[in-house]
Amino acid sequence: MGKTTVGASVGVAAARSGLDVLLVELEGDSHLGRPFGAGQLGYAATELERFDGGGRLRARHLTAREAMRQYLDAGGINRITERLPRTGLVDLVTSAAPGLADLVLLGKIRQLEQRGEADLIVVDAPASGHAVGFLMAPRGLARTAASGPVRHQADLALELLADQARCQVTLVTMPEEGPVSEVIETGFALEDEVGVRLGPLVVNGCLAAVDGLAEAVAQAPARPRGAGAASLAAARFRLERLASQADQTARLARELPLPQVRLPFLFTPGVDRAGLDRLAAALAVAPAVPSAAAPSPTATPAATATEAVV
Amino acid sequence: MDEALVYLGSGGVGKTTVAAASAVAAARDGARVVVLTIDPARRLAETLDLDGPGDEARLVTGPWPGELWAAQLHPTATLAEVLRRHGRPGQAERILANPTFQAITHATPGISEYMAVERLHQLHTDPRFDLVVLDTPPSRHAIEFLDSPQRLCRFVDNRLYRTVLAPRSGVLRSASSAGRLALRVVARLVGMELVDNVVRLFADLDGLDQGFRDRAAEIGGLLTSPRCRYRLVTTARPETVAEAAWIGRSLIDRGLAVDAIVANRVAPSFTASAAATTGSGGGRSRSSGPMAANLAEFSALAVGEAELLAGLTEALGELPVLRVQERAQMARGRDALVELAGELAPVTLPRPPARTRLPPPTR
Repeated sequence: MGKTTVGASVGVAAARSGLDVLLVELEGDSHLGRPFGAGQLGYAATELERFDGGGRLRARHLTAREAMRQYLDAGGINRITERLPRTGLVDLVTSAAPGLADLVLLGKIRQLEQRGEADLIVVDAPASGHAVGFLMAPRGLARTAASGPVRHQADLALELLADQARCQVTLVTMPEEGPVSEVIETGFALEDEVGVRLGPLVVNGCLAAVDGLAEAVAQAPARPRGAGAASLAAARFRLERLASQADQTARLARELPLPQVRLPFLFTPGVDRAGLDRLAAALAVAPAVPSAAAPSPTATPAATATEAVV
Repeated sequence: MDEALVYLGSGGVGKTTVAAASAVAAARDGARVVVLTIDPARRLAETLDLDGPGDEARLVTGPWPGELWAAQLHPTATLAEVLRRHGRPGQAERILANPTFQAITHATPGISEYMAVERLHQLHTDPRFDLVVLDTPPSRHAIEFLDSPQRLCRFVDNRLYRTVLAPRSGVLRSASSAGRLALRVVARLVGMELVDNVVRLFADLDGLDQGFRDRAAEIGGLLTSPRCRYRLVTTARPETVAEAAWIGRSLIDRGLAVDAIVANRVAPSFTASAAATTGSGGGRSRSSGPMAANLAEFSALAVGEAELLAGLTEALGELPVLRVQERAQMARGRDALVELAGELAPVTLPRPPARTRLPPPTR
């Protein structure tokens, strides 16, 4: 759906407006750094760009394993387990309590937020099938753990997710049948089961209408030759695409009542730095887009907002 | 001869649909083919009659002379069967009853991949089928699935469990007390019940490692045999192309039989079709304005994508590339698969079996 790209664009838009933004990648190899000329991201933050007006954009790649290791170390495991195969212990604990890895990651994000690491933290969350599970992890663990450190962590994560001033989820989709059906399902699941605030719905890859295209097709000869045939085929393709796109965005508006922000289809195979600027510009003019509006740093100077892009 | 065809690629490139369509193409060639899907979208599951709970292969009817079967992978069901096969009486039931077991099957890296190759092997040896087409689970690294049998062996043979719970030799005795202490601290963090379940689970897994190792060797034999062919699926995006290049390179380095690249959902190429249908370019002046501007946008996209995909073939050598063009609107249900099968047909599929094994043609 381009959620990594949309997350980066949200970051660019916010940094351009003067915020200190941290992009958090959870799954490796997202190529988040590529448009900025940065390679693979590490666990520590990498600065991607500084903006006029004081804004900056940094990114880091949080892994469950590293976060879990830190968590266990903080719990005092470190001193005792020096003689044990440490990665084995971490893997075992992580796999035996699914959700614990997710909780530890959310805990790490919360820690970054509490420390005021950035004005806005944009999290590139797992893809829709896994996003609900990821954000549900604290609820599940809070249910099974009556007390103790896990319960405490789960409560803190739930508090962050439920706090509309600190956290919101931005859903990303494309104007096609499958992605639209999927995002409707995800949206309801997040609202019902996680209770998190949903930001505007980003519809990525929307073809722009071309003025006069339909009229030109109507006036074109029925059987053109050469370049005319190619133009006509391309025009028909676009018109058909536009019609189905309109159907799908209308269905989306009907079934998932959230404001939509439409991002343009860029006609490039990847999205480079200039492409991110175009998407960021489209996000910045849309009303109620989280990056610019939610973490209003002048109103609440100490507050940090966290945004998960799903 | 029985064949297997494995589709690999990043998540979201349309692997499941491409695998299903290539199975349709084989059925149109007269083969008795089964496609094993991992996580089909609802519409595809309905088309393949896979919305039920079981993992048995079901016959999908359609306008083809061969037979198309479809099965959905249920890792937990497959794992239960594997445990029953390798375990002592009662051992599988104890493991299956452990609350931690199901959690582990979902969360441990490599388990669903292993179950996919386990099912691939089962279907491959099933005399009902000439060809098995496998859609692979969305791993962070698709290649993980090749190593999954070994990974599962390592899991069952977990060193931590040996250190903590099986201090049979003097050398390990001291490590074991440190291990028990570690478990107590872990229990403080995650709860005693969870630790108990893990400990019991590993105690119950005891003795399974040899069976798993033998099976892993057998499955490894199929995966590396020339009868198992691999295809890369990608879209024309830098991330998916980079992943396909990496997977392809890893497969080729292991000496595995990579036979094609499927470039899925590439931009439609209007200029090529125009060149094919025309002699002299007559309508040029008529198509200026909005139509020309629109064509220019799609042409630029097609050029950019072609460059990106050229880099992939350069990296992987002379592999046939099948370009499946993006449609203005996707056909639905079985028609969509048949349409896609037509586009996938140009790459030679594994040879259909001896004609004598075919059911009488339906038309």
